[in-house]
Amino acid sequence: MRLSFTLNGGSVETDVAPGATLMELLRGLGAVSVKDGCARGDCGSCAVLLDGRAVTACLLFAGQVEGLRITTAEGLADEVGLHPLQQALLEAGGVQCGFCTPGILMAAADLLEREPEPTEAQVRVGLAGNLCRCTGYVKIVEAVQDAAAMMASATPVAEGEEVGHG
Amino acid sequence: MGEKFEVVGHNERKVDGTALVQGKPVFVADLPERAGTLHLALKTSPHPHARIRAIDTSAAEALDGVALVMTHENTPDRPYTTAGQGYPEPSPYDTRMFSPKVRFIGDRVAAVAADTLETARAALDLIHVEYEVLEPVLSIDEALADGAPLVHDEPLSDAWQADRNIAAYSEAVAGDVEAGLASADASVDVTVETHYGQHAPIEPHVVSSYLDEHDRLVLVSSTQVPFHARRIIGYLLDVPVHRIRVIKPRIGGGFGVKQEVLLEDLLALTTLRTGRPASMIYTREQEFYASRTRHPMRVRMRLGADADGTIQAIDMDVISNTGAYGTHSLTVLSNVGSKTLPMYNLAPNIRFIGRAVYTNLPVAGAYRGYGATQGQYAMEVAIDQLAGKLGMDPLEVRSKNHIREGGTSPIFRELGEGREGVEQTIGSCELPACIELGAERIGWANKRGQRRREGSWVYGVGMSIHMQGSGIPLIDMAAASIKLNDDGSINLAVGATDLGTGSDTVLGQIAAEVIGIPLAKVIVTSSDTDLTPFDTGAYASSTTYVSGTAVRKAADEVRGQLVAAAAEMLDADPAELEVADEQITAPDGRSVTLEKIALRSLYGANQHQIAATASSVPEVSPPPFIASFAEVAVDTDTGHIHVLDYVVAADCGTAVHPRLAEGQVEGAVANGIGYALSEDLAIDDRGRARGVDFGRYKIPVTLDLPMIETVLVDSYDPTGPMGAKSIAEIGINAPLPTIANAVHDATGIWLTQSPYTAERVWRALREEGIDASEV
Amino acid sequence: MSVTQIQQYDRPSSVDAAWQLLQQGDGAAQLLGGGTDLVVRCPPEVTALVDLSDAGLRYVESTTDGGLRLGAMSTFTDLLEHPAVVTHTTGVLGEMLAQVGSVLHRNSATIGGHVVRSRLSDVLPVLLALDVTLLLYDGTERELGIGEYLDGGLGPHVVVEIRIPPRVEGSAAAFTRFARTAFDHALVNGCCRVDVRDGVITAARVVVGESSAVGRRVPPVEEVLVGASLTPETIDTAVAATRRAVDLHGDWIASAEYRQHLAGVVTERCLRTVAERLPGGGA
Repeated sequence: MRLSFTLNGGSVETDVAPGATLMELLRGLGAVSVKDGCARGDCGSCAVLLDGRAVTACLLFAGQVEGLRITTAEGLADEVGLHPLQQALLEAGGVQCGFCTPGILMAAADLLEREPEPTEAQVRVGLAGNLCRCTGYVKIVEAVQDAAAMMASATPVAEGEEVGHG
Repeated sequence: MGEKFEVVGHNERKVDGTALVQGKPVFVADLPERAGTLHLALKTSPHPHARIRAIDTSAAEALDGVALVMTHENTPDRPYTTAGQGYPEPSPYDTRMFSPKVRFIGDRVAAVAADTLETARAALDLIHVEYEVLEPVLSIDEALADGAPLVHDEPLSDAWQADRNIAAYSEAVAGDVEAGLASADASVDVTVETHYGQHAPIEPHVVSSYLDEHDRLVLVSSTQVPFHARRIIGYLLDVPVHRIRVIKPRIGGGFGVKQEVLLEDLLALTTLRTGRPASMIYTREQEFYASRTRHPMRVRMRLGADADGTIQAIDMDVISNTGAYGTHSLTVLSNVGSKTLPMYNLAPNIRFIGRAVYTNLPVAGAYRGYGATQGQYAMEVAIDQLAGKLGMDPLEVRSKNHIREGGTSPIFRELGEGREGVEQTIGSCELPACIELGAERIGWANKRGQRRREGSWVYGVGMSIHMQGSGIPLIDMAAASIKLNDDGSINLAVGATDLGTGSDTVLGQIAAEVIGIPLAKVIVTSSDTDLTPFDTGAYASSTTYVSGTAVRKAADEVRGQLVAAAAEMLDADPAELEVADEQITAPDGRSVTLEKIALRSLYGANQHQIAATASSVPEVSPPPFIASFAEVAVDTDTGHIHVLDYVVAADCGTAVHPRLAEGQVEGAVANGIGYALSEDLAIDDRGRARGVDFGRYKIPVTLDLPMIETVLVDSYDPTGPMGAKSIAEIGINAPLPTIANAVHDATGIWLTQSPYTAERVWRALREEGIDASEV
Repeated sequence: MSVTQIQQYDRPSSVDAAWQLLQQGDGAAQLLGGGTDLVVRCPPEVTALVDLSDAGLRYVESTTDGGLRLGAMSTFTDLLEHPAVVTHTTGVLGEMLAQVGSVLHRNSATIGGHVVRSRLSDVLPVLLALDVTLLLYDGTERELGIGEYLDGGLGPHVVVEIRIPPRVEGSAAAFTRFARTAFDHALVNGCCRVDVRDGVITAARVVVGESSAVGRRVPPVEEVLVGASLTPETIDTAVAATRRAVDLHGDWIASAEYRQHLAGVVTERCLRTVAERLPGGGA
């Protein structure tokens, strides 16, 4: 079936099998940051932003994104450079193997859009659907708060404006 | 303490980090699929123990799109071990690609390679298997019972006693343990039992294969041991090593489970037989039940001590369940003793006896901690019980008895990895500082022994101390090559395998430090058997210490060549030249940049490639040390344990990259907390693992963990590169005893069986007559 | 891997169009809500999906009498971000929704999908305790109580709307769950609501559920409560009655005995919270 949507700012029109998952669709389009860690919504490594909200791409059918806006980790950085979340994860040591990192970035981006200055507890709630086996989450949680601080000091974001782009 | 460093000891940006945060295609499954790739699916045994009477693959083979069906009837019948260890592997050759006898639920029965994964899976259903179901061996006790069915009844020369289901045996004795126990003023006798846990890397095992333009076999594998994988596949499939190339791209976590050669043989055989590229990824369920696990163990620990707390005798009896195959059975077993007993080295009387038994249960293997996890659980709970008997603070008992700088233990010599060990004297041990800092930070003095209550919750603190090693002495070997480029940058090629730990960064820092360049000028290439020198692999906490030493030696040689060239250019005495900030400076202030030296050596006078390769074989294995502390709350209504606070003070020698070192501790502790509280493969009474997805096998999420705090104490090991020791494994040993000891402080119950599920704790509380009504 | 059995995918733009599609093929068509369940557990007979995204069912409306109408395609996040939803009946809906799955699931899982799938649910105990009704469409619209709906036996239908009655004067409710870890199916969960007039409980809803079954009301406990005041003694009696009345089963994760015990803990914790939430702090 025919499907059209926006992926990382560019419009996509493509044919897709009616039973295809969103994860398959996106990986097939080269967005391989969408990781297949469990294929049943438990690990969060396939998380993408769907109209700004982080969802598990493995549990959605491709057809569900018709007309919607998708952002993956590939689309987080812009021409100026890495997104503050990406920078903060690197600086804080929040990346070890990096397999869960794209999903963490998506969940964190969703969180920061709703909660620009999250407490540690709010960060933990926001990332509770993302499994990381390497870090114990300490440096990831710190990084999300660091990124929030970076964003607050860098750009006076108008209320309701989207974080990053895409 | 130690030297001043420019790059080492600094939190440099991880060399692979920028690619990872952008989701670049760096993992095996992300690489572009080659035209004509076959996809593999695996059929596994539904029975814990059965003989395959007949297997009919004709319908599967007839299915459109199926290229190859593999069973025991058409694959090499050659015994080998999947353990990715040095040659010859100290694990029994008790495994075949496919066996006519299946030995656990999940054992290989057949594999199909087809045009699509859907077709391969459909073909699996068309394979008809006739089983003769055999009586299974489903526990340690069943395995050792008289007349027990034999898991391995085939001729097997290198298992200890396959005719008694014993895969491996290990022992070590010093002094007279029975006499020591008999004359002790206080003694304890405690038995702990641990359960099946799984590594659960978020990226499952994944391998792809193809023939290159010279018809050489290329395996792209998520492996911790590319060189061992090449050797084992060559042996198993009778392919010369020079016809095989193994490439390790980025890995999505390993923790020991990728020290096993689990899929490479299927991919290699498919590509060799069909000439086509192939790829295979374990499903999450297969990763749980058909890869490798932590050895469940029963460890009995007896301690005897003088009234003043000096330990006089330690007796340790271990039975390890290796599951259906003996991969790592001997070495994990001996590590239970060799990584546990030296800690309390004042005791003159020590005995260690260990047996690893075969069962018809999931296969155990290498898992971060590697036996130390189980052994130190028993020891550290026993120490707290001893402190209780002596009426002493557990900190005091430990401080009185633990090993110190300059100390040694007969166990270092008696017990190695599956053979005799290597004598060593401790060159660095900052455990006293670790204990003091950790106790202060957790609030030991104010919180211990208080049994504070709040509603149904009761609070306590507990601690334990731990050691590991840094590589395997006189067995591990690592090499590194460095060459200088036109612009003064270097290529660093290492066989060491970064599985997410950051070892590419750490090794790059060591090279940068020696050569006087920033890390950005080091191009690190790791783990490609065609392009990098040999390394035994990423295991045994070896990379920083063993591979790091190889890098330091290669960098020293390159530095020497640079200095020699600079001396010619500056007409100066090489001994007086200083190397720093990408240049070499004479005492009179004249200098040449590395770029100028490079250009001269490549294009100008005395043309040659400035380059070096060096190797490292460690003679000792200096232990890192940690002191681990936790504060817990126990819900007396439900038995739920909440870990409120966790602190680790660690001595890893010089922390080459402090933040990555902390991350190793925090990740290991998180994994250990999960294992202690909620992770369980949960084998049922038929031998089937039930906890086989993340919905059921509960690894901790953000909300289950406190902000684990790591304190790296100042330390320097004289034998390590820049003073460094290991840090990757040690933390995982801590949560089992630390939490058990904290729960005892809170409630008075002893948790000697893992995992500490709420129901198990609730039952123990009820047996002790403790419930919320006491509030 | 895709759900290969699916041959047809439609996005009808009205409930009636969805209903028409659903009727075709004799059980081969399945409604698709948020999609968090179907990819993993698609019934083998299903070959066509009817995606309700365009059917106009994503809304939350407050009625003039203080009730709520939740469009079936409202996500849990939609509901959590709606002030009238999270504050309804002393905040019990918000309390529950914040504990369902993770943000990743709450962003796509729908309330309607959850009701239809009727499994592994923290949501249903609360809906049962609040006496919600469902607006169904099967050619015509009709309203059905949630308890009756869960009894099953219905033909093909579309769940259009979840209708939450206005809060009863003097009522309070609480939800609690117990699981192995923060992100896990509940071993036992429960929701209690009591309506109090002049210090006496006039109506009570006590629901206990577990991970492998939907919650059920526990009438013997409700009977204990009605006519009494919510005192600590009443709560003790209710807890004992809960442990007698419920019949939870054991599995490899937790024994029946332990679950029975937890059912009492859950009832106790719910009722204690309810007592705190009642006007004037309860009895």
